[in-house]
Amino acid sequence: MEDDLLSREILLMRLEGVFRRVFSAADGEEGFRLFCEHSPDIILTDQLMPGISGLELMHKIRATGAKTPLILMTSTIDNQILFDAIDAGVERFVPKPFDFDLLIRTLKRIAGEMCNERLLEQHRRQEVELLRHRDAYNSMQQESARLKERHVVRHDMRNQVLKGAKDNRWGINVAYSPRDIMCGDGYSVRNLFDGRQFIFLVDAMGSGMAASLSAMLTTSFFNYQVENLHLWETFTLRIFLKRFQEYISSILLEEEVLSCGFLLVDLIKEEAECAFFALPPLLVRTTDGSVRRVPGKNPPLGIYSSEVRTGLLSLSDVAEILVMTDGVTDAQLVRGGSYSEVVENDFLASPTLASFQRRFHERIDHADLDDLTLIHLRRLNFDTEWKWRGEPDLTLSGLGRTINEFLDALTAEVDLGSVQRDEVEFVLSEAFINALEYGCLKMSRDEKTRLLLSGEYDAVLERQSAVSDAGMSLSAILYRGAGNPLLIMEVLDNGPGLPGDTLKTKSDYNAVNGYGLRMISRFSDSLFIGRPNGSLFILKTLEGVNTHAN
Amino acid sequence: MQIESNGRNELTIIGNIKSIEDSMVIKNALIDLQKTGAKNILLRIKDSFSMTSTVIGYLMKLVNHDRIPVSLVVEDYRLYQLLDELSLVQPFNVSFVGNEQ
Repeated sequence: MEDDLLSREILLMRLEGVFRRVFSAADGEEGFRLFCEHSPDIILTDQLMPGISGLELMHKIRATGAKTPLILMTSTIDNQILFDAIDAGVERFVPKPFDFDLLIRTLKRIAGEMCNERLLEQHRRQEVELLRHRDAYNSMQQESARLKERHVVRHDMRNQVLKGAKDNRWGINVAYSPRDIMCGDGYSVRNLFDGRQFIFLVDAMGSGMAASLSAMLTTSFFNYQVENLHLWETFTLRIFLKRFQEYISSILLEEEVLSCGFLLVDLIKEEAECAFFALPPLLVRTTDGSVRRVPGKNPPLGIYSSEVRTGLLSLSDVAEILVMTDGVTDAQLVRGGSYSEVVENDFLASPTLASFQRRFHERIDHADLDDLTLIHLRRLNFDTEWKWRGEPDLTLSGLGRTINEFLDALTAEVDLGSVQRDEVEFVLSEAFINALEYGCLKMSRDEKTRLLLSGEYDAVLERQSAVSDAGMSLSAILYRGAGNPLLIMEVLDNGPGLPGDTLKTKSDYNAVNGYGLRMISRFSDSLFIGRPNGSLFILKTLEGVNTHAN
Repeated sequence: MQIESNGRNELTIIGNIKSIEDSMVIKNALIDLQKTGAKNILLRIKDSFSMTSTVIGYLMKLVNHDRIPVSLVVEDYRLYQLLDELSLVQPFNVSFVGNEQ
């Protein structure tokens, strides 16, 4: 923009020899119109022109959001104009009368800087795009790996009641908290063809993907062998371990080792044969409440592994067994030191895996946690001093009455506090409704949905309950073998019982039922489902309660 | 647990929703609102940390079958977390207005 015709023509002539397209205007208004039409790369403007000044033109251009470099030609060095121009982001000043060579050099330098900036911007955009693709690709890979990992680790008896000798009942809980997708821990809890349970736990030493591969390969091998055990001529733990050693010597690198454990559980004979390799000691609580450590006695397994020592553990007086990887015992305490210093005390105080985990997480520094895997085998029935049994009338009010009678009896024994009392009432209400619908009345989920949607549900429940020959009971015990008492409640009905994988089945997004067991699970430590009759064991640690003297 | 009806489409629940009786009381109060022609329902839950599956099931019926939009205002963060874990925050239009303690 230059209002002087001669200067404008000379500028135009010189600049057209250097740049591809040059537009000229006699004043700021025309210049702004040209700017809007053609979006030039560089603006060269005189400061003093009829109408708006060069600086005012600059403000108008900046108001559009454009950051086009602007060179201001001025014959006066007014400080105010200078400061305003700098504030507005003027790229360069060229004094008038101008030196053409200097002007061309200035323009070329700005053009060069612009080209570089554009190249950089283009490069940056390409990088961002590439990273976005890589990120999406990596996320997809990680999600596939996570699904695969979850497919390899197994728990055949999740939330299932296991039958032992003399009507004893047991349950197995697993807590698996990988630090990363593809972690160095793996486990498998399997039901064998002969009714025994076989538990495997592995912690591959080393880091990252190499450890994860070892953990997944060995867990897969364990699963594969377990699924074919019925074809073996003779199955013993020793033969299994020999084959396992042969396998790992073919997949481990010379410097790699595995910490792992095998527990072959026979609940009918009430014994467990075990072999542990450099895992933290098993923690065992007997029914009288005493706790002992059972060390593994074997070094970690590697390609040069030597003679294996196995052990036999009697379960006849065992209340629970906890097996864990060293991610648990090596965790750093907030107060300093490692969790191995207090693990036994916490086990002593915690009657369930959930209560043990609560204590663990209260104590440790979460900043640098390793993979954590814990497997917990526990007895569900005990001969305890305090026990309670009731058989409710199969009406909604009858169920509520029995729950209240039970709560009154329980609060006469221990000072529950209002929150825990409400939680117990809540889980029992859910359990009773569940037993009434699915057990006593043999109502399928589809049938319940139909009745709920049609509005007939309540009437059908009352009507059918009145004529049904079904029955239901609540049996509860208070086990005091740990620091905190454990309330074990069994709701038994004479229906077919729920499938063991009920809790794994996800409800439809819009389902009107299927929330009950998840609610019980949320407000209790764990639950186990028994069959063929409908039996639901609910375990809840009573934290911080006082026992009444009576 | 206590329940108060405020106007044609609003219920306020005080205390824990924990028993079979609580479930029936809430369900019947919701049915009463429906009968009076409520086009949408606002449920204020003052201090409950739980919600029975019966109540959840009935609210799902209202939202998905009867097409009556439901809004929940909860003041206990544990209940908000529970509803969130069950993916019910969106269908029940849940707002948390308490303290995250």
